[in-house]
Amino acid sequence: MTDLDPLGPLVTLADIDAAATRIAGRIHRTPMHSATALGERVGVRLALKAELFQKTGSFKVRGVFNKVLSLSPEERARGFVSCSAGNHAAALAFVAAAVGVPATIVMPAAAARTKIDATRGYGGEVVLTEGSVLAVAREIEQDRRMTFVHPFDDLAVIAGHATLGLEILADVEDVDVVLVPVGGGGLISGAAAAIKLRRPVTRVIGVEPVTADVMTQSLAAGKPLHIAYPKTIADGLAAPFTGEHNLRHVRAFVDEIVRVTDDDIARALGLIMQRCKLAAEPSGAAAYAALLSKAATVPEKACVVCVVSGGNVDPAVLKQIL
Amino acid sequence: MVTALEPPTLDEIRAARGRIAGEVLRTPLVRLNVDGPTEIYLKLENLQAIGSFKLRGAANAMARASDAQLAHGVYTASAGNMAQGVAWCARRRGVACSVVVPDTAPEAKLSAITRLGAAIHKVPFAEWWNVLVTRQHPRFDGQLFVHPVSDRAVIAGNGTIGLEIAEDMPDADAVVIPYGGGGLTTGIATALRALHPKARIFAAEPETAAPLAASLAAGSPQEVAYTPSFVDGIGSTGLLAEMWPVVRRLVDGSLVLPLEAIAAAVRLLVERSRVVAEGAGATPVAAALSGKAGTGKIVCVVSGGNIDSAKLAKILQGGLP
Repeated sequence: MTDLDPLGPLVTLADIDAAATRIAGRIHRTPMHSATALGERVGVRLALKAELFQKTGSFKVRGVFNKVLSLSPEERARGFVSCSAGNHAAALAFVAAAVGVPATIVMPAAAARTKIDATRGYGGEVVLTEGSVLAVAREIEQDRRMTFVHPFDDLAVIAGHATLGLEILADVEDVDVVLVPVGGGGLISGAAAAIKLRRPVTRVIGVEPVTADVMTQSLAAGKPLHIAYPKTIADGLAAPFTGEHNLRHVRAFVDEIVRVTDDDIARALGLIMQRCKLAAEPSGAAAYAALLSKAATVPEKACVVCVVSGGNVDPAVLKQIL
Repeated sequence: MVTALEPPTLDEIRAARGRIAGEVLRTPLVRLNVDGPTEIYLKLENLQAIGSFKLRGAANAMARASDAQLAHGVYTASAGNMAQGVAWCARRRGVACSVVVPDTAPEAKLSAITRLGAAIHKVPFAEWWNVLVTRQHPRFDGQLFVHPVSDRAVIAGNGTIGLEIAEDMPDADAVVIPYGGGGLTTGIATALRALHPKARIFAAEPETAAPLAASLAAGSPQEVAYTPSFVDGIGSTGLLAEMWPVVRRLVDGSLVLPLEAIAAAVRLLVERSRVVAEGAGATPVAAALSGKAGTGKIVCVVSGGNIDSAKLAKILQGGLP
């Protein structure tokens, strides 16, 4: 990988507003869920951005819809190919069906059964591989002349995800801190851009599993890295690499990346289910895990939003956590 | 001779809405993603701060009370969701709260009440039941009593759910409501009958404890066999006498569901809708899925989400707790 070009492009407020207009009506505007009891436990005023109620059960449709609707009719007509361990796969299959074209998604053979089934359920073709999902997806792009829709390293995808940041600011005008889970870095790239461009005093903190910390490592290295396949309970955050666009956005807009253990995530998920009745997936509980574990330090009584990014959980995993 | 409860008027329900607006969530109405001829919508009261609709009634009853009435504290008689509702509202107001519970109440429920800062007063079951009937307990003389079910202000608070359903789904074909004491059913049905008389209104009960269905069939209040189950928020051996004359003219029927169907609905709500519902809250969903509530647009009131974690784990595994 080459060193990061710090002068590369960043999404603008105009891009983000255009994305919001483009995808309006295609996605849900998800509710902000006040979580008083969970907030008291960590000494803050807390609200949860309940993105697990988004179509397909995660934020991913925001970016994918914006990308797909930004393409030329010719690019769209060729159908889509991508790689993903789960939520992007389901989102791409869903969006492709919505615009009436086929989608092929390369998934790791070890991907959660429920996520493979969901992707097929939305009409997507699933290709399983033990090797590099990205490499196989790029081959299919060439062989079948399909349009590649990157799961996170794409400006249109980032601008689409940024609409989640706009909604947070609209619902919690005085928000002091926003915590966002980090996998490949697509969601935080967009959400942080929207928040910092609109309200620079709000702190944006990214949260990674300690065993899947490609963003932390890439920031230290100054370039986007590939790491060995990470293992974490938060399967949605187990991205083995991040992208140039993502690293650039994180550098420009994110105040800090912190790390949490699987135990922290499990404890946070248990509380979110028991107290808020939200059946989140482990990735969606990572942001609150950073508050519980004190990996993220926030001022007493601060107004905090944690993004609950998705709810596509294997019931067997939930059973263990409960 | 029991005097029938006089249900609140639509104006009282509207007034309740204004009173509780800052304290209570206007819960979302979301579509349940299932195939078939029926469109099922979920009124997610499990997302209220205490995990159940009971906050609405508690908030309205306490908002109507004067500072002088609240000065000596409040109390209720409940081992479940109403205790949490009253405790939550009392804590927000800085008012002392006591909860009379039967000595059979499970520890898990009691710890949720003490966590909200309320004091527990354990009494034998018969003494506890007597508080519900007489609406007082000598130990708490001078304090405001909030009845968990048959209180006009509480029912008016519950009725605000009906106002929201009428706004969000003006063309609903049916609304299904879990039947416990009858306070939730009466509140919602009163609002809907006034605003949206075409919608059919069904109560829903577990087959292990379904006195309303038996009473409607017989035309008079009936005692039934009662088997305790994971559906612990509703179901009883009989009806509260003052509710029967009101409820019988408000509902189109009571739908009775087997425990297996209710457990399956709890599981489906986690998998498809990403919410945790307790057995009572999932009972209307089981009713809608069974076809018993008819076809078209059916609104299910998911009344609460306070389910024991071990029981939820068992259900997610495909079992019956």
